[in-house]
Amino acid sequence: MWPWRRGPAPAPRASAAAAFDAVIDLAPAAIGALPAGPAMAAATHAIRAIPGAAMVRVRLGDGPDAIAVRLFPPGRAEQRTGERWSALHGTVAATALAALQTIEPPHVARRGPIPLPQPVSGAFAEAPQPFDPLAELAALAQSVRTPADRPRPAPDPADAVMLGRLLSFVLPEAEHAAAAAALRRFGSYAATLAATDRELRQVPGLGPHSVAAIKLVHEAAIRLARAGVTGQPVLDDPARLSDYLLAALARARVEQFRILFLDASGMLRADEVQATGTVNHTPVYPREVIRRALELGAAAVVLVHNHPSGDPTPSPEDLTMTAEITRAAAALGIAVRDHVIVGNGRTLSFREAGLLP
Amino acid sequence: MPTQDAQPGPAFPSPAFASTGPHGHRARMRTRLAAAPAALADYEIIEMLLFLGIPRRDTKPAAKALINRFGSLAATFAAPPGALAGAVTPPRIAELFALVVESATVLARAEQHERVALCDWDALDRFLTAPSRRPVGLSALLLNNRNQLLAECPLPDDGPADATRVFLRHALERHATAAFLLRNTPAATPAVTRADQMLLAHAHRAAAALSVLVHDMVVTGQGDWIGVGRHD
Repeated sequence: MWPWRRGPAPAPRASAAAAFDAVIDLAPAAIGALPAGPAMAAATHAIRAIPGAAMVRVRLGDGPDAIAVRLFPPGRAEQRTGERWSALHGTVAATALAALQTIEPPHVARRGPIPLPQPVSGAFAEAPQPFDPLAELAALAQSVRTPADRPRPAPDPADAVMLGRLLSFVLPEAEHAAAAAALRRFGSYAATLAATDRELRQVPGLGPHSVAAIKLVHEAAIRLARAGVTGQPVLDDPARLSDYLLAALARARVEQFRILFLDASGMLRADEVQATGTVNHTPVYPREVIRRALELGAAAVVLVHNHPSGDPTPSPEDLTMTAEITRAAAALGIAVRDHVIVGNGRTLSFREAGLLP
Repeated sequence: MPTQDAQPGPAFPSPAFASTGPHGHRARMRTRLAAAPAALADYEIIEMLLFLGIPRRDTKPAAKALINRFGSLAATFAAPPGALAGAVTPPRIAELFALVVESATVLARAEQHERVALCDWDALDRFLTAPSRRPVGLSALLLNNRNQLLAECPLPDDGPADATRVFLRHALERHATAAFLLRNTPAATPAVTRADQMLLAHAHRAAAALSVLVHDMVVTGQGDWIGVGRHD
């Protein structure tokens, strides 16, 4: 039982404390470091639930860890006397006390799988997959104990050569050290190309010119990959389409929803990013997809989005939203030819998998 | 883009608007590249690639000439090295274009990650009891959407507010969607303290607002570990 004190505030700050009806002091020694945030939130919540008490202000009182409560029972100020008022006063104090003593951490059951973060509906999202025993057995067969501080697999030496060649245009003498530092940070040449400006600037040895050169080569390579799908109908060569989408989206840190707008003969008319979301979902508005398709005069669309975790398996939300967009597009005579999910080094095409509605 | 600054050229009258004029063109192009690389025209991409070989000169005419000659950006990159030799192109430009072609291939390859998958409590147990050079005190295990370990970040032990703030900053930087908190006490058998329970509750609530799922907090020490959250 924690030593609580209830009562009016001490004299030196009587004028301030008089504005409050109850001051609940906590003895810090009994509880260690009590965080004020959750304590006040819990007490506030509990006190507001008491009928007849309306909390105006809860603040830290005169002690280092005190909670002061102002009470307004319904009615006029002169009603704040008598038995009902004292009873309410007592109830509030007891409730706050109980609330403070029961700040419980969340319930955790330590058996079986560890739950995955749940996606949000109305969006493309990552698929929450249950624990895969076969994959886990495969991992066990390779290495049972994998502590986090095991040295990372060494970057491919060919990557170091390529990055050194790139940086030699900018840093004629110091390219190898800078390339090694970048590869230590990002793991591969491709990951270095795809890193953001902010991440690249953090690498020692890479100045603004080097960062610009890396981003320039990245953009040039993506355009080259896109050129592989522009000369002929986009869906004629699924491998080239997959290569382009991987180059553009595979290493994005957050989910991105992109649309390839096709004309009547299936050639690429426009390639636009429709929405950028967060690491495990991105919002999708069928209305905006169709509206943009009409603006561009597209006869068909190919939907594209990425899964930053690297697994292109579609989630139930992915399937639902694809069906919604298809239904909306059909009303205007626009076809949804495919929906491609981009993972790590592999894509999943709804058309090839037979998942198109 | 050579690292040395441009040598002082002939004296120009200072322009009325500092942001126009030939000086600083390359810096402006770099700014545009950083802001929106997809908005640059194809010839501007070639122009900036030519920066890497030719100091100070305006490379826009050369870039436009290249695109006109070969028809498109992709054809320019795919042109044989002999066809690129000329007065306006720097000697190593063929090498740079070949690098771009190779980069397009490399970008389509898979990234080789080797991430520990903490998908169930047995995997967590193996991970926590494995010998490791873990520092003493608080840290966070940041996980991705598949509960794969992305990083292990030390946290300050100054109280729940500071620890949570640093934890969430790391989580957002590494794009984590789940986490375990961890306190390492190698000198003693693990025990649950009220402070740790408070920290877990505080961090769990704060992280939920940022779509980060804090599974649990564990205290490790002397080859054993114990969970802090309420359990069965």
